[in-house]
Amino acid sequence: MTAKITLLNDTIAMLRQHIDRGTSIAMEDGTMDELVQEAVALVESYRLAASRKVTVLGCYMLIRHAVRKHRDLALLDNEALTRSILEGDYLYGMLYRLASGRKELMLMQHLTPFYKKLQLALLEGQHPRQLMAELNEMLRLYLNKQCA
Amino acid sequence: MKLYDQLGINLDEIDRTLCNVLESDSSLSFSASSVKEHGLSLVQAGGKRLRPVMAIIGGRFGQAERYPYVLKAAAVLEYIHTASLIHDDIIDQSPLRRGQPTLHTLTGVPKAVLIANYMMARAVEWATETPELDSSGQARSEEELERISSLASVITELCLGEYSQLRDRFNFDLSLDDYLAKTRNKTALLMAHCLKAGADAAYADAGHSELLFQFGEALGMAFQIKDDVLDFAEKKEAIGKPAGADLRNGIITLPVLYAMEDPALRQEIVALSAECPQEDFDRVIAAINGTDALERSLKLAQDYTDKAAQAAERLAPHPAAVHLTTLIHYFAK
Repeated sequence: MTAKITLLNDTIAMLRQHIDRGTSIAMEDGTMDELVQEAVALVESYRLAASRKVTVLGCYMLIRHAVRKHRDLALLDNEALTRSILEGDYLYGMLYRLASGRKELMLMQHLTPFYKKLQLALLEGQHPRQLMAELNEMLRLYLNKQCA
Repeated sequence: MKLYDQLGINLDEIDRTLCNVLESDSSLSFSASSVKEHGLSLVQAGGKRLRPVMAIIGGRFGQAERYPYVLKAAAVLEYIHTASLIHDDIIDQSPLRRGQPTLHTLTGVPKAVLIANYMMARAVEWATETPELDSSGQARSEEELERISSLASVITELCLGEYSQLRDRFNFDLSLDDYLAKTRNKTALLMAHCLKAGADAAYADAGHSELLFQFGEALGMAFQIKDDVLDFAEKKEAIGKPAGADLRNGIITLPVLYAMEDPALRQEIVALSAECPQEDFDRVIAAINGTDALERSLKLAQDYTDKAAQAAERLAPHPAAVHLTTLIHYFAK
């Protein structure tokens, strides 16, 4: 339990450190969400260097947050709408910054097609919760491949 | 003569590559065919293709046989640019782009946001999915992935420019440094990255690549400052929006900063807000046009152009440097 909390806290601290202050993006920990808890437990269960675990979980959380920002659009409030669009874009761009800066490039290659399909699925009206569950599955597949 | 003709660049090939990014996507099922339609229509709407052109020029400082990789980088950058324009149009509530209805007016905002996201992700996927071998027959190296990943991370820089603009709406305490930082993020860095991306993809000398980045950054600064001046100087019919549209939207540009050095005019400018009637803006914009603010702004743009020329001069021993002079002449027009 302690290891999982440490991993989550370390990941959020790392993301906060990388996110430019000019964005005013707040990275909430999302501990209430059972899919996040499941992802933390999943990453923690693999034999990977601690810094890689933080990167992998960080990329996962960036995608979750980016998707959420672009789902919660305040259509009648232009300033709030602008913030949501910019925050989603910034977090998505961060995925690549993190993957290249922390040398987790295969994860970037693994998650990009999923992120693309996710946009198509949302366009077709699929439920985000179901898609986020698929993201956890993508994470598991990647970790299996990396730790085989 | 068009820029790409002057530079001997095959525009049809760029266009075909850009279309191929979407047409080769097997995920686009029949039900998602409207996504392909909208995407292709945006890509085919054309424009000057400045970013791919700059990437290709950067590539000419490296190995000619690396051209397919240069084209790949060029396509990713153009897609990032196109997708960011879709989001910008939503933010700016623009009904038209190049005389055509903007995507969100056709699909609604939520769908337009997702289509732009799809386009960005598809371009990166396309650039990293093709099984390519290096000279020793090895599968795609991590270095290739790193290069594409770095390109995609440019999105964060574009966002920072937009954030500053949002945060500083009607902020008349904006400093010259703040303005220059915003201009750098919003426009100049993408141009710098285009040149460098092309050079890196073609395995150009690292020193050349860095100089190309400096060249693109300086040229991009000059380009944006001139664009800010045009916003004041041109009539509505010429640019499709009222003179001083930036100021009317609370965006503080260089001419405004210079005009505020006159204490009397400063008082009038700082009294402007989103609630003011258009007549107040008309009066202030006319007053700014009556000062030397536009001329001084153009002088700073020229300083940046000179800086670009200095970088080009340092690259002059290379035969491809002649193309940088063509770019300078094009942007100086």
